[in-house]
Order: sequence, then structure tokens, then C-alpha cells
Amino acid sequence: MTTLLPPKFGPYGGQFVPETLMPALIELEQAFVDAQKDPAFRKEFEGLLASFVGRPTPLTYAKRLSEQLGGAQIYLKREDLAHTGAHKINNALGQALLVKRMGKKRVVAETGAGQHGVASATAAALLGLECVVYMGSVDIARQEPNVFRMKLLGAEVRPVESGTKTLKDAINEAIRDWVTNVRDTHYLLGSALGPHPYPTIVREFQSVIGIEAREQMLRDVGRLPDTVIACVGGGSNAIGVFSGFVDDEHVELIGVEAGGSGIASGKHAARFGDATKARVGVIHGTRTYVLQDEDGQIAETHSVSAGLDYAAVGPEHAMMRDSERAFYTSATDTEALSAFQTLCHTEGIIPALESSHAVAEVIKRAPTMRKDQVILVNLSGRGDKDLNTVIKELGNDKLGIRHWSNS
Amino acid sequence: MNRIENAFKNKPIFMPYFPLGYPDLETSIDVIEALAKNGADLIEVGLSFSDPLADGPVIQKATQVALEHGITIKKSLAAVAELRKRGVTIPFILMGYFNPMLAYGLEKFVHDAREAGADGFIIPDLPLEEAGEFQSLVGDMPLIQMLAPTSPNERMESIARNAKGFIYLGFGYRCDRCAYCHFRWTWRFDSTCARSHVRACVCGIWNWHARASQTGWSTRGWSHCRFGVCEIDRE
Repeated sequence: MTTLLPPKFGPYGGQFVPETLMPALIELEQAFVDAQKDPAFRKEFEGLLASFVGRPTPLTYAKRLSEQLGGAQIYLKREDLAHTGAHKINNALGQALLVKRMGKKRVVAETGAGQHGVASATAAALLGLECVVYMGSVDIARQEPNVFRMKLLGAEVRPVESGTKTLKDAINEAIRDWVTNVRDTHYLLGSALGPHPYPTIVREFQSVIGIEAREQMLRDVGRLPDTVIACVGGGSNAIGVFSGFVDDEHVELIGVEAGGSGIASGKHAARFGDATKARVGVIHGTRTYVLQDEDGQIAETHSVSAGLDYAAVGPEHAMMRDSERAFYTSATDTEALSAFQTLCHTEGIIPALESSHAVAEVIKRAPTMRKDQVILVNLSGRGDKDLNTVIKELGNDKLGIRHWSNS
Repeated sequence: MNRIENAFKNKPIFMPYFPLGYPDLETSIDVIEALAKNGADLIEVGLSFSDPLADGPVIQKATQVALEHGITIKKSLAAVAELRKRGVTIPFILMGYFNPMLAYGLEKFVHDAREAGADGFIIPDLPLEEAGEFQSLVGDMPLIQMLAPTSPNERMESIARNAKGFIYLGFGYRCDRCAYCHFRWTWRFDSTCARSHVRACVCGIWNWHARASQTGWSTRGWSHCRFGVCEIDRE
């Protein structure tokens, strides 16, 4: 049986799902391909991105941060200013429109940090769909404001108590729900992973980030960036911004994974960074790099940011890493928290802890670059949801102190 | 051949699932031996995985316990060999997820499973689209194919054409015919709902089967609809 779109990225990707779901994936792929060709769909999607999400999101020159680091000029793609506070809304709206097209009435979603859950609940409210969000109980505790937001938006939040009680277990439960209710339910997957066609669909709906950023760079700065940096959990914001520059061969693409307590500690989510625990495997329908033990059991991961706390990475990132089109590094919890404060103090922007990992890499890299060079960083979300975590990690009394990792 | 075909001589057959390592390895071996000696015709031997996304809560919990007690593929295959040593002759179908098998090494896994005395495989996250690599390694040991009620006719046909051993009816959706039913992945056998279920499920397959016959497609010897019932997954 053949697919309409390529189901693999090199050796990665594929459709490792129970037979019950195969017809749903085939239906979804067909709906997506039809929608992409349909000017009315594109018009509706782009219309909502403008009038509801507030796109295009701005490109902000980080003047003080650039000056303090003393190297490359830094520009921020402000996905934190998208409605609901992160890039997740782009994909949630796109998929919700596909759901309407397929005639389904119910969506299930997984969420880690809660941003995708909020985006899904928002899109469902906007389009009149029933929405159930699965969320690990550990994540519910650390992202409480987003739980309230989802409930206010009319979604049902179902706590997941199995396994590690984080994102991967929420995905398991969302898939179980989908298997059970597949006839009227769509799985609104929030990242560039899972079985084909999800990684392709999510990339396409997030590609608006890269398309806008490229235009804005050319228009406002008069040139393309030397380096594009984004954090990588599943990898949707990264693949979205990368896709705008992937054909510009001289633009360096850098993904930043969660280094947690450090690679050596074993407590992290660096799928590309830990050669002892990360091997090519199959999880949640896709073949990719997976943190696992020697028996093939999926490893527990750790990150201060719930949105990066996941054992596998999107299959297209795995391919881009192999081909060296993109490079991947990691930032520890400490580095991310430090970068979080730095951006607050220098630019008046409170970033999400996920995005703070990308900022941490900027702080390491910019001083090594010339002043006429340019870094574009995708600021994937805002940090309001993380305030409880940050206060707990840093202590209330330290919040006003400037804390630099490399000065 | 073979143990699987032999088992299906008595129909319908009873085909329970039990995960190795639950509640501990020794007990699970004893349980499977007892099942075999007390009427099971074929056993689905469960290989544990940390993320069993096609299983319901009971199997999740059981396999979690098995993993906490240190179950591995290696120990599971040794247990299969031990059961053969104890004189159990009914077929064993190894049921597990793909990633632990990949980690073990597919070729080595198939080889060692054969040596241990297993008869076939059920891998819920390996649909037809992805089965090629594994299929090429198994020789005469069947990789059991699954059909779902959501599968369109042409898909059912190509799955059935490729099927060896028997066909697994995967019911992962909420049955609308029976109030008791909250099917996860396979037939849930329950004294109060089994009969209506079996009828509903078999009817579905029969309808498809009849259509397939009309279009001239040969059903290749499973026209007697020999179905097994397995798996209790209910708290």
C-alpha cells in the first residue's frame, strides 16, 4: 500500500501503529493533501492566522542582549506573541480545520508544558469541537496555570497516572483514546513526531514561522541570518523555523535539546547528545532517535521544561542531523534558567523555559561570532506558565539578581 | 506443519494472553504451564514494554510490574524454553512491541525465539506497511496479521492475502452493540458480553468475507472462520 506523501525521512519516520489506526492515518493524509490543494482551505487558514492568531508575529532586534554579549547581532522571532502564547496554535488551528473537513467532531490531544493543550482547546472552542487533553500528573503539577486555561476554554483535562506521568505517557493515553474512538475522533498531535503523515503535517502548518522570518530578515535586516537557533523537544517550532531556511545552504541551523542536570548525570532529554542511551528505535509510531535502556525500554527523561521532556525526537530532525544540514546541541536546566533571567533583564521579555534553552545557546555562541554576523532565534513561547517553576528553582529572593552564565 | 494449525483443529479455540514476568518470572511460567494443562489451545506470551500503547490498563499494570521485577526479552525467551522443557506443546505466539525487539537485534530475536520454541509473533505496532523487514526474517514462523473493523475492504483483502497462521481481529474501538464492552485491542472475553460480541464481530468479518467471495477472491482455507477468543483486560 502506498502513501500520497513520502512516509519517511531517510531511514526515519514511518507508520508504526496498530492496524486500527491505519485507516485513520490514510484518511488524514488524503484530507491534508486535498486541503493543501484547496484555495478555500488555505484562505481560511491564513485568514485565521492573521485575524485570530495575530500573525505575522514580529521580528525583534535584541539590542541590549547583542551589546552585552558583544558578538553577533541577535534577532528574536516572536512566537511568544502569537495568541495563546506559543507557536503551538499554528498547528492546532491547521489540524482543527482538517478535522472539520473530515467531518469529525471530537479531538484528543496530549500536552507536556500545556501549550499544545491550550492551543488545541482554543482551536476546538473556535471551531466548535469537543476537546479532551491528556496530561501527565507530574506536568499538571508544574504547569498549573495552563490546566486552568484549558478548562476555561471548555476542554476536559484528563490526568495520566501511568508510567512516568509526563508527556510520553500522555501520548500513550491519547493514542489509546484515539484507537477506541477513531470513527469520530481526531488525534490532534502537537509536535513533529508520531506516525506519518503527522511529522509532515505539523511541519507544513508550522512552516509559517520560517516563511515569515525569512521575509522579515530580508526586509528589516537586509540579509539572511548566519545562524538559526531553536529548542527541540519533539521539534515542531524548530522544524517550522528551519523549513524557511533549509534551502539556504549557508544558513547554519542549530537545534537545542534539554540537557537537564547534565548529560553525564543521565537525567536529561538529549536524544542526540547521549551516545550511550540514545539509539534508533520506534516509539509512538515513528522510527527515530530514542532514549532507551539496553533492553529497548523507553528511558525516563528529565528537564526543567515540560515541553522538552520527551524521550524521542521528530524523525525529520534525525535525518537533518545525519545529513549534517542541522546541528544539535543541548543546554542544561541551569543554563536555561540563567538565560531565562538574562532575557527578562536585557529585553523585557519573559520567555518560556523551552525557548530559554535556545537563548542559552545564543549566550554561548554569540560572543564567538563577529559583530557583523546575525543570529535568528525562534522564541517559541512566553514564560508566564513557568513562573511557579522558576520561583521554585531559583528562590524568590534571587529573582532580581543578574545572573550570567559566561561573563 | 505445525503446532498452530493443529491448535485450530478444535474450534473455537481458547487463546489466553499472559505476560511473562508477572507477578514474577517463576510464577508466570507456572501460570502458563497451568493454562496449557487446563484447556488453553494457544497462548499469547506477553513480552513487556514500557509504553504499551495498544493495551488497556490491566495489561499496562501487569507489564509494568514485570518490568519492575527485571523482565527482559532474554529472560522471556529463556522462560519459553523452560516451558517447552516442562513438556508444554501448545503453540506460543510472542506478543510484544517492536522497540525491544529492535534493541535485541531482529535477526537474533527471531533466531533465539525459534530456538526457545516459540511459534510466531504478534507485534501490534507493526502494520503491513512496516512489516517487511521483520517478515523477511521469520521464515515459516508467522507474523500474525491484524484486521480492524475500521479497515476498508481492499485493505482487509491485502492483509488477508499476506496472512499466515491465523488472523487477529483487533477491536480497538468502543463497541456500540454491547453496554459492557470497552474493548481495547482484542476481544475481551467476559461471561456476560462474550456471546453478543463474538456474534457481532464474526458477523462483521462474515459480511466482508461474503463480499470478498462474490468478487471472486479466494479465501484460502479459512472459510470456516476459525476464531480464537483471548484476553481479559478488565479491572
